[in-house]
Amino acid sequence: MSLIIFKMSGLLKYLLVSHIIFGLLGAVAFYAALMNLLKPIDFKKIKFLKFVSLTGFFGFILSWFSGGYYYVIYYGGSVKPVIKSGEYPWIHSILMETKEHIFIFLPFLALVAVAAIYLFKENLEQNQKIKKAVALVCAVMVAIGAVSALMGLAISGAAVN
Amino acid sequence: MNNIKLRILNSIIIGAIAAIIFITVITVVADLYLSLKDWLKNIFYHHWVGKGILAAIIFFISGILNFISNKNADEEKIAKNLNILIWASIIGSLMISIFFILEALR
Repeated sequence: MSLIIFKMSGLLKYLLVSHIIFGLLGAVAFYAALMNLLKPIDFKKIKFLKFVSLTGFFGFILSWFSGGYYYVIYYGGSVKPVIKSGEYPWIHSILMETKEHIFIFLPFLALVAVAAIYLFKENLEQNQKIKKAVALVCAVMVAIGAVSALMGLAISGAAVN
Repeated sequence: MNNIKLRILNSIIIGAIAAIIFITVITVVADLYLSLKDWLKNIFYHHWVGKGILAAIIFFISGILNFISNKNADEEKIAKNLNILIWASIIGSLMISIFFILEALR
């Protein structure tokens, strides 16, 4: 048995690994933001929130581009046929198709969270409705990130030939 | 918080809602009407690249149009729009996954 990964060029391997690392970084960063938004916000907390939300945003952007290049250049021609002809073709038809589209929600959601945190700053504490809504936006991103990671795991497993 | 900042934030939220709805709709429609998928591929090299680029364009256009047309934004409106964004993301994610499950079962 060999993994498809060993037939990839060095650049594609790095891009795939980068996609995973940056995606996880994004999800973890917004999990940290969510945990802090569930507590009272002061000047010190807002500095941390600014840092993690911006980290999360750039994490998702870099994950989007690195994964996107790998997907467009390599996945369609080399990985997808292996999965579709294997024991679990639904892993492409359902999991990969879902993942590649809901992932695109993340950069836009992340930008909203960053904008809210940077524009409101510690005034977020004075508007609990907005603070809770921003926390929920972060929760949605963490959920999509976690689901995407699990789907990615299944896709990688199905690509073993 | 001053009105300009509220308007900027509101416009970013509106842009994100528009982008997410667009991604959901075009994902379903392009898979049902392959001529649309082919068009995306011809213009953007790959259908998925096209969806991302068009979503970004729609985000910017919707956001800018909202900023120009909505001279007043208040915190109530922002809270409401954030909730719409949250629901759009959840429903969009569910619609996309259910669509591909149904397509796989066909």
